[in-house]
Order: sequence, then C-alpha cells, then structure tokens
Amino acid sequence: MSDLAFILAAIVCIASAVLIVSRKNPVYSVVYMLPFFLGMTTLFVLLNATFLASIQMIVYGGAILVVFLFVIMLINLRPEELRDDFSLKSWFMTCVGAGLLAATLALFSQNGTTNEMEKSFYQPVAVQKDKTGADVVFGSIESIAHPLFNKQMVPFELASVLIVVATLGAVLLSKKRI
Amino acid sequence: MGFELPSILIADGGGLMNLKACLIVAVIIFSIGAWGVVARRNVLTVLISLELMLNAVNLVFASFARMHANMPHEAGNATAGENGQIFALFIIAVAAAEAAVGLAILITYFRNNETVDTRDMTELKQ
Amino acid sequence: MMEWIAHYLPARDVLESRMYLIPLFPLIGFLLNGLFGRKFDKKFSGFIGTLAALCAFIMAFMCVASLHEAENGRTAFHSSYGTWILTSELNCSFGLYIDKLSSVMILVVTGIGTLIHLYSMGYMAHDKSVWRFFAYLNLFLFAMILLVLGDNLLMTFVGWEGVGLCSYLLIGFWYEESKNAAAGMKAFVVNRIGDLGFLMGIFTLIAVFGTVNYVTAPVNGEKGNVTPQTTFDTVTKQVKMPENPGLLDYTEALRLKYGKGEKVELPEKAELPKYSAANVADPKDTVSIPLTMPKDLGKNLAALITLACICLFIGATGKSAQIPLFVWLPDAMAGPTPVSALIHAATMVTAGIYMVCRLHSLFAFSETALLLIAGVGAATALFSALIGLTQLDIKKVLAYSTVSQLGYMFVGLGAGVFSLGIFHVLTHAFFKALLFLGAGSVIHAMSNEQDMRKMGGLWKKLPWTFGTMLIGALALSGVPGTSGWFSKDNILANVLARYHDTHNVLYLVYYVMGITAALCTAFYTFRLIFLTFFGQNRSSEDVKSHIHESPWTMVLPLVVLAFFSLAGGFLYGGSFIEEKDALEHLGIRNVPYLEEHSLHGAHTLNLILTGLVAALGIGLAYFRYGKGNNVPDPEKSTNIAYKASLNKFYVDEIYDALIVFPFCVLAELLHWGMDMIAIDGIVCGTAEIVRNLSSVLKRIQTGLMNAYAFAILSGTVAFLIYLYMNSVAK
Repeated sequence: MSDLAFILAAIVCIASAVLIVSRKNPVYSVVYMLPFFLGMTTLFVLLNATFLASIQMIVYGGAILVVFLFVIMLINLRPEELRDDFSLKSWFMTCVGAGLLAATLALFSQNGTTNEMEKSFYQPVAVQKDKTGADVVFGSIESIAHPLFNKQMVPFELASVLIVVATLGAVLLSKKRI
Repeated sequence: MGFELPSILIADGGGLMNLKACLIVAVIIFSIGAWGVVARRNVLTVLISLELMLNAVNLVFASFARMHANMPHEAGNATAGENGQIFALFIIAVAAAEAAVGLAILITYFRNNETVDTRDMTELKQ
Repeated sequence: MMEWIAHYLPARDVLESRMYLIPLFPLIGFLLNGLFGRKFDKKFSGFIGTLAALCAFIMAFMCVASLHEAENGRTAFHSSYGTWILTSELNCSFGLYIDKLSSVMILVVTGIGTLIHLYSMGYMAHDKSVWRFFAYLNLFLFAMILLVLGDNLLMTFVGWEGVGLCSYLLIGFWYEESKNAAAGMKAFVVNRIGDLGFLMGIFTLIAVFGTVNYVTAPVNGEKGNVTPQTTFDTVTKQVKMPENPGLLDYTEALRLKYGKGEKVELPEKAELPKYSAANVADPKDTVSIPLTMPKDLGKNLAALITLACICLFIGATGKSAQIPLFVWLPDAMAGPTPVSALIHAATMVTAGIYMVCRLHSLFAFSETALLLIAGVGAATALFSALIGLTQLDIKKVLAYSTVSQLGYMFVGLGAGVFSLGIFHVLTHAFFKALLFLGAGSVIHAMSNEQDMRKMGGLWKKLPWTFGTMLIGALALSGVPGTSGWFSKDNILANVLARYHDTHNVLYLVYYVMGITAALCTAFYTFRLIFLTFFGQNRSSEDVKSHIHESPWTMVLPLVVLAFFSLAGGFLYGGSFIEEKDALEHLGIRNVPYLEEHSLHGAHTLNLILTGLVAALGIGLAYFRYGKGNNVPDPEKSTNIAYKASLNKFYVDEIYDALIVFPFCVLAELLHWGMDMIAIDGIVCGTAEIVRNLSSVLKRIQTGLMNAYAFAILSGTVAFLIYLYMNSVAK
C-alpha cells in the first residue's frame, strides 16, 4: 500500500513541478507550489523523516509560499506585461535537455545503486537502542535533536546567525529610504 | 511518539519504493526546476524554480538518510542516518533565508527599474 | 745618436711595463675633447689634441730608442694587459708588442700625427666645431696605435675597425652637406666589405694554426723577460719551438724544418716539435704535435695558407684602396685636408701593407698569393695614374696619386721584398703628407678654392708652400736622390730582378705597368705644380686679394716633412734596402733570390729606365703646362680617352649599375616581401586574429542572467558526465 502512496506522491510532485515552471502568471506558479510541497511532505513521511516532513510543510508551505505571494502582489504586474516566453530555439534546447535527462535516467536505472545500498529499503526501520538504553526512533524529533545539539551544535548556531542576517538584510534591502 | 502514522504511509520495504526510485523522482524534479531557472524570463518564476531545485535536493538527502537507517551502527553511534535529515533541515533554513533576501533584492530592483523581465536586466553586459 | 739617447732613458723594464701609455695619451685627449670640448675655446682644444699626440710620440720614441740596444737578445717589448678570449680553441689577450717593424710604423704614425695636429691648429682655426675635429683625430690616433702595436691579429683588427670608424667620422666632418656624409658612408661601407675578407683570413688562420698571436708571450727568466724564439739546433738537427707559439713562430718553424735551401716545400700535415718555454733542451723530451687541420677543409697546408693570404689581402684591398675597393678614397677628399693628409696618405691606408709585412713569413709561403698581390698592385698603380692625368681638383689628383703609390707598395710586397714595401710606406708618408698639407695651404690661401683651373702664378705669393711642394713633387716623381727615388726605384728593380730570377712573364708585365705608371706619375705631379704655381693667376679679384702665406703652425710641418722627403732616403735607406740589413734592422726576411746576381743586372737597367721616365714625365708636363698655357677645359675636348680618364673610367657608375642597383632592388623586394607582407602579416595578423576572435567571443557576455545560469548548469553537467565516464571506464 505504501507503494500506492509513493506513486501518487511522486506523480503529484512531478505534475505540479511541471505546472509551476510553465505558467505565464506567477500567481499560478505559486498556487501550484502548494500541492508540490504536500507531495514532498508525503515523500518525506514515506522515508521515515517525519520531523523533516513537518518542518518542510511549516516552513515552505507556511512561510516561503506566503512570502512569494506577498511579493507578487507587491510587484503587481498587469497581465499584458506578461509576455510570451517561448521561441523555437528554446524549444529545441528543451528537447535536447530532456533527451539528456532521459539518457541519464536510463543509465542510472540500470546500474545506479548497489544492492548493499538498497538493502535498507527492503526492510522496515528497526528501532535501535542508544547509549543510555532508550529507544531511538529513526527520524523522530528526539533522534534529530540529539546530534543537532551535541555534535552538530556549530552548524545549528551558524544557521541561526544566517537567519538573523538574512532578516536584517531583507529589511535593509527593501527600505525605500535607509 | 504521540501518534501512529496511518499504515499507508509506512514504507516497510519490499515494494516499489526503493532508493533508485526516490533518486529518479528527485532528479526529474531537479531537472524541471533547472529548466525553469534557465528558460523563464520572469524573475519571480526563476526564484520559484530555484526553490523547486532545493526541494529536490532535500529529497535526495532524505532518501540517503533512510538508506543509513538500517545499516549496522558502529558502537555508540545510534544516529547515523539522522545526519542526512539534519542537513536537509539546514537546507530548508538556508532556502528560506535565501528566498527572503532574493525577494528583497527583487523588490528593490523593481522599484528602480519597473521591470521583472530578465531580458531587460543587462547591466552585466560588456 | 740613438745610443747616446738610450743612456738617458728609463730602464727597459719600466718602459716595457708603461707601454700602454702610448695609446693612452690620445685616448685621454679624445675623452677630454669629446666630453668637455664644447666648453673649451678653439686654441685650447687644439692644444690638448696636439699635446696628446706629442706625448704619444715621445713615449714611442723612448721605447724605440731603448730597443736599439738589444739586451739579452731581446729586440722587442711585449706586454700583456689581461685576457680577452679564453676558450679551448683560442687564447687571445690584450697585448702590445713593439719590435723593429712596429717601431717604424709607430714613429711614422705618431710623428706625422703630431705634425698634422699642429697643422690643424692653424688650418681649422675658423671652424665652428674644432673640438670635435681634434677629438676624432685623437681617437684615430688611438685606434691606429692599437693597430700597429697590437700583439695579435684580433688587436690589429680592433684598430683596423677603429680607424675605419674614424675615417668615416672625419670624412663626414662637415656633415651638414649631404655630399660629405655620403662620402663618409661610402668609405665605411667599402671598408666593411674588405673587412669581411680580413675576418675570413683570420678564421682560416685560427683553423689552421689555432692561434692569432704573432709571437709567443714573453716568459720570466732569470735575466728579465725573454721572448723565446724558434731556432734550429744544428747539433741535434731539431727545430725548437716555444710553448704557445704564435703565427710567426709557426711559419719560422715550417721554414726551418721544410725549407730546402731557401725554397720551402710545405707538407700536407706538418709535424712540429715542441719544447718547454725555459729553452732547456732535452731532445728526448720533444713532443710531436701535428698542426690542427679541420677534416672538411681538405688536408693541403699550402692551399690553406694561400687561402688565408688571399682573404687577408682582400681586407687589405679595402683598407688600402686597391682594385676593386679603391672607390672610397677619391670621394674621401670631401673631408678636411689635414684628414686627407693623415689618414689617406700616411697612416690608415698603410694598414694593409703593415698587416702583410707583419705576416710576411706567412705570405712568403704562397707564391700564388704574392703574384696576386703584385698583380692587383700593379693594375691599381697604372689605372689610378691614368685617371690622375686629367683630374681638375687639386686634392683629387693627390688622392689618385695615393692610390697609385699604394699600388706600388703592394707590387713591392708581391715581388717578395717586404722591407721595401715598408720603406715606401715611410717615404710615401713623408712626401704625400707634405703634398697634401701643401695643397691644404694653397686651398687655405685661395679661400677654399680647390679647382686648379682657377689657380696659377702662386709661387711668388706662397714661397714656402711652393718650395716644399716642389720638393715633395720631386720625391713623388722619383727624381734620383730624393727619398721617393730610393724606395720606388728599388721596388721596380726588384720586380725586374724577380722576373729574371723566376722567368715568370707576369713579373715583366708588372714591371712594364710600373714603369708606365711612373711616367704618368711624374707627368701629373708636375702638371699639378705648373698649373697651381706658374703662369697667370686665373682667379677672381676678390680671391686674389686674400692670397697670403700660411701661419707658422702650418708652414713648420711642411718644412719638417720636406727635409725628410729629401734626406729620408739617405738616412734610413740603409736599414731597408739590402736584404741582410732588412733582416737585421727590421726582422723581416725577404723572399730570397735563387741567383745572386739577378738583382745587380736588373738594378742597372732599371736605373736607366726610371731616370728616363722621370725626366720624360717632367719634360712633357713642362712642355704642355709650364708656360701657363693649355689650361684644361673639359667641355672643349672630344677625345674619348680624355673624357674616360676625367670621369674616372666610369668606375662609380659601373659599380652603381652592377652592384648597388641590384642590392637596392633586392632591398626593396625584401622590404615589401619579407618585411611588409610576411612579418607585418604575422605580427599584425596575430593581432587581427585576436581581435576577430574577441569580437566573436564577447557575445557570450550577454548580461542575461538566464544565460549565465545555463552556462553554470551545462558546465556542471559536463563535468559530471566526465566523472561518470571515468568511473565507468574503470
């Protein structure tokens, strides 16, 4: 059954991706971002990355999508300014790129991954025990928090610095008068 | 954990879902996003496609993290697979920051030049 | 007298180690005048120049006088001032060498040089760049001293080039007129062509003998410096050669070892014994060393020596104005008269003869080369004498006379009597310099008029000039008793004797040419005297009023030179004429005669002939021009021979058409073909290619962000494909 979920989620992702990049009106693109994020979330859950899935939905769907929408409203393009993009040359290049992609995928599906790598996917995730003897559920919030606050402390702090800087930067950049 | 996932969302192996499939999906989404960055004129669409690419990369990280989930752990290292997910977390954070700053730049540019068409943004031309 | 002077001189060692002062004084004069001359006033720069020359002369005189008494068997000063070239094949140093031959030359050079410096103080007094003149004159003296005193062929060549340079500088002294500059260029270029031959000769000698030194370097013995000589031990019948022999040592050894009687038969490859320099002989210690012979030049020693001699002689033709490279000398009269006197009469043009005499033992091996030298000399003598018959410019007559007399010197060298060649150099220096300086005095008096048609009747107004020039003319014509007679007559006698000796008809031909040239010489010399000094004065009133005798600075050298022209034969002839005297006083071994009495017979016949010819020439000249009539008028003459002679047999025009014109065409072709098309094409073409490429490539920078993103993407994809290919290949 999880196969069905996987296939559906994959189709949703790919279809909404195609729709995102091909709309003339950026508002439509943003609209189609939502099913895309939902599909991604499903995929993450299927991969036992539950915490990641929730963060993905909250941050992307709740913040980034909204920011994009705000900016589009701010820019306020009139419909006639949305000119048509596509020319013969770019269709040609697209076909070339698509062919390249198809070739790559074909090659990849033959000998891209080894059995050793695939082994884990054919079994359910076992619950392991950590040093203190407590259960470690893969992908849960505890199991992510442990490394995040111990071994990966520095990237964590740096990420927070990055976010602060980005906030300040965004505010500064978009002021009309400094 | 507080609640149990519905069984449809629990991948217990032995099905279509394997590493190869996840990676193929990720590559397809990445390519679509790359095409969007390269071939679209509207800067907003480009930025959105950029997010698409970042998401695809996130998927790749999560799949490889899952790969590590059942691999024998070395002594004392119970969280081998979580490193991938942590990195994916960071990527989300960075993507958010970059989207914010990028959009701020776009707004400023739009205020000065009244256009969001990349073909009109040729100040880098020699 | 020399012995009396020698008592008051410094010790020989001191003099020998101070030999560098001889060229140093003129060099200092050149530097002073050259660097600071602009600030000196005219008299002072002349004074510095003359003083430098005088100091060089005094130093040279002291060295020569002190050499007069041979001590320890040493008859030469030889000092070395540092190594120049030191390779496995050639060892050459800066050295000065005074032996009897160079002592003659150095006294001539510095003595006449000083006299002409003194003369120039008066002659160039009104010129605006006197300092430059004296600077160049001193530089010339420096180079000429290096030429004469150099102890190897390369030092001589340095001096050779230096005098060529100074000749160019001095001929084109008044360079504002393009005619003078062109004459200077012509001299330099023609000289250079000869220098190519000279260099080929040097290279051949290096290939054959491995050295350019004339003699081996002196070594310290117990009794002061001793120059080892090549000798023949009659006891052991061995030839002893010093270590590091020079060219003259090699040739002397070859002569001693392979001379049969006096005729030398050169082997293909010579085995020469070598001794240690201390001259301590132990016959068992001899080492046989073959002369170096390059494999691909053939193995014939005689042929190689002939080749070297001919090449060296080509150099001499350039410097000493023989056929075919004499064309620069008449044009060189565009320079000031003291220059003509010093360079083109007395010193520079004799460099070729000096070089041949220095290497006389080398030339004596090669009969072919000697015949060639004599032939070229005789032809030149006759040819330029014929041209001199009709010239109108007083200096041009003297120029062609110089070329002719140089031909005589080479005839003497080619007949094997090298000492007489040098003797003629000496006497010719005296009377030719005298004639040139006298002509300068006449020109000075006639307000720079050089055309003889406008002169005449000057003997009353310029008595001193007339008297001295008459003496010079007598000497030039070979009137018996004058120094010119001693040298020229003896040369011709030896040519005739050589004919009797070897029965080679070429010598007879040369003799006839020489006699004819002597006739022409007497004729045109006295034509010059009669046209200039006798008859009515044919110049304008303006010029006539300015005619005056020259100042004492100009007359004194004339008188001194006239004295030597008259007495030089008696004073010095003894050292040069008799063969034994030449060997003892000059160190030159003339090519000996097979039969002793061939010289006596020739002497008598020659005496009669030359006396006749001189008298005939003077008589004809008097008959035609003596009464002040028959002033030459080229426009009225229709005689073809006259016109040809007046236009110097169209030599310049022929050279122009045959040599200069093809060169100019070739130069133009190369300019367009190579320079403009090929080289400019390559260089500018490269620039064009870069420009076109860049104008194509600059379209990459569109400024479009999408394009840049695409570029990044495709680059990454390509790189990944490459990695994939690599990993698959493994």
